Amino acid sequence: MTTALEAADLGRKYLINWGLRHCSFEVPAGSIAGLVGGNGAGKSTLLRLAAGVAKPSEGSVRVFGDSVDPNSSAFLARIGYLDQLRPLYKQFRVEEMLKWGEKINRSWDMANATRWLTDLDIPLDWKVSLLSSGQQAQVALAVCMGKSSDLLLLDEPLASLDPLARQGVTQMLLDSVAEKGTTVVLSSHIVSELEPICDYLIILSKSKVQVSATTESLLASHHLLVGPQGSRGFDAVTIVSSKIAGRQATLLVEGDPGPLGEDWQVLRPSLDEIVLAYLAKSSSKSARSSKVPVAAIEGEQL
Amino acid sequence: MTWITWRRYRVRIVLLGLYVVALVVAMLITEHAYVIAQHNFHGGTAVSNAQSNDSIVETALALLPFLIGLVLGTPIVASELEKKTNRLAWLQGVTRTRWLIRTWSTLTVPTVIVMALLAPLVQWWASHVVSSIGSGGGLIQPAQMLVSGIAPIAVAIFALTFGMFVGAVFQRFVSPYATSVVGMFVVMGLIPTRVLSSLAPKVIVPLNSGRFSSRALRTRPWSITTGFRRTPGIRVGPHAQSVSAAVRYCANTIHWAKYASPGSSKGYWGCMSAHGLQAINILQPASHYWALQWREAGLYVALAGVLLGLSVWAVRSWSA
Repeated sequence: MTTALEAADLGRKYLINWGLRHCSFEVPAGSIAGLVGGNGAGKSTLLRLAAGVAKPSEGSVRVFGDSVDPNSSAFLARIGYLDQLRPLYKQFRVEEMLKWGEKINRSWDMANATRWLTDLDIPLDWKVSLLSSGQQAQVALAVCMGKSSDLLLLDEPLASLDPLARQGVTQMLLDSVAEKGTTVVLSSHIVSELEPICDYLIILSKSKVQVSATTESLLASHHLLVGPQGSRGFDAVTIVSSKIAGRQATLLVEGDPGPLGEDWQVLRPSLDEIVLAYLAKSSSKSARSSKVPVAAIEGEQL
Repeated sequence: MTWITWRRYRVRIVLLGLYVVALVVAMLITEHAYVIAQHNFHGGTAVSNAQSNDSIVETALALLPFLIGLVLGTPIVASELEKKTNRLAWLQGVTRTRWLIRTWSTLTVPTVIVMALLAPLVQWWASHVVSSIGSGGGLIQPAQMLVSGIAPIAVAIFALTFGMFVGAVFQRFVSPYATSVVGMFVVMGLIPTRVLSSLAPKVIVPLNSGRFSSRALRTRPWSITTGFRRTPGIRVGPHAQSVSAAVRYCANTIHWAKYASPGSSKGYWGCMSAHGLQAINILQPASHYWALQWREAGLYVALAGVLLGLSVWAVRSWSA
């Protein structure tokens, strides 16, 4: 399988703080990868590094096997990047913004970009500055989609949209990707937004990658165990998180727990629960080794 | 890219165009006023009025390259960085280098065309009006070298590139517009006063020799400085170990009595002459006008080339 985006021990330092560190993952070509994490987790930094907007302080990032080079027209032709700030020429009319995209790119799908905006009822003859921030975000997304690139790097593309527009944009993104086989990496801190569209997930927390895997394998390899606390140990699985409520323990584990007896229930966690468990694990100061038996954490409140 | 540049800069280009039109009108009006004054009054007050108007137009002409640099050059990169639109423009199908050079050239070409079209009119106006009623002399004078001939075309290219360079390099630290203004004033102040006179061989003539003195303003030389030199073959006295020692000695009025009647300036000149010193004038004759123009233009174009290269480097290495 071809790798669209690959990071190896990637890191970026801002003066004295690391915005991202020891980041390694591979996003398969043709997938829609969700980049989740809290504020300051390093999502935007990762996307900027992948787009060549920022330079890595350590490690490397490759796009379709080639090094990121923002001064190479071959690299630029393959990527589409939507910055978190949604930069647009505010004095342009919307249709001029699309014309701008056509003039500055060798390959440009004007029909796709125009349809994107007309479907979302964005007036093409309005000045960009007169549009709402949500509408401006849609124009920025349309410019990004019009470029017809192989890899789309979208920094919180759904952030300023209303629920209806969010649904519309999501569907159009899916249609566009299905039509052209584009690889998409999009960031968000709302997992429920990503769950229906992503087939690959990268969980970032505290500037480090916690997990990177397909959503299918994440769902298959994680289990939610509910049972009496302190009743037994779990050596065969990795405990991602544990929660004690009264005499009942709820564990999110990675791996196959096998038969646990009548006291324990084995449930399928949602993607949301898996993501939250990893984010909580990394942010907990008293995060423990992943092989700790539940008997040893009796009484712990996570 | 031409459409993009035009769309982004069209208001600024129109405003600059209006400024140029106003300059042309002002030159025609001052020329007309001068002709009327000459015809009706044969000089005098009316000519003085025309003279004050022509110095305003001369200043406005000298400001044109500054405005081009500030209005067109500085925003090329500074505006993109300020509004973060570089994160949009530099991620499209054209590389940063190509984007910068295409934007720069799209603005530079019409600038050169307008300045080249303006040049003959300015030349006619300057040689006809300013050199007749202006202060101090003809087109060889630094103030008129700045506005006449081909140098202003090169100055405009330099100013546009300098503004772009400042925006590309200093945007993160200081206001690029304020830096452009200060920087352009420094460079365009230093070149006419410190560099220009050395771009062609200077001519040294004895003071009051009559050589290069002309009653016609337009053929008067550019007098750069005056000084003293040793007259060859004249035996110097004990007070003239060096030119400066002799000058100091002769400047003391006590010694004048030895060389002429006390209190008379003849004593000073007599002293200087007795010590083998000759007063000289260092100048650029009017005949050096075009040589200086071409060399000054070449200097500005070369500086613009260096700044363009540095701007490309700054933009290529930009990182968020």
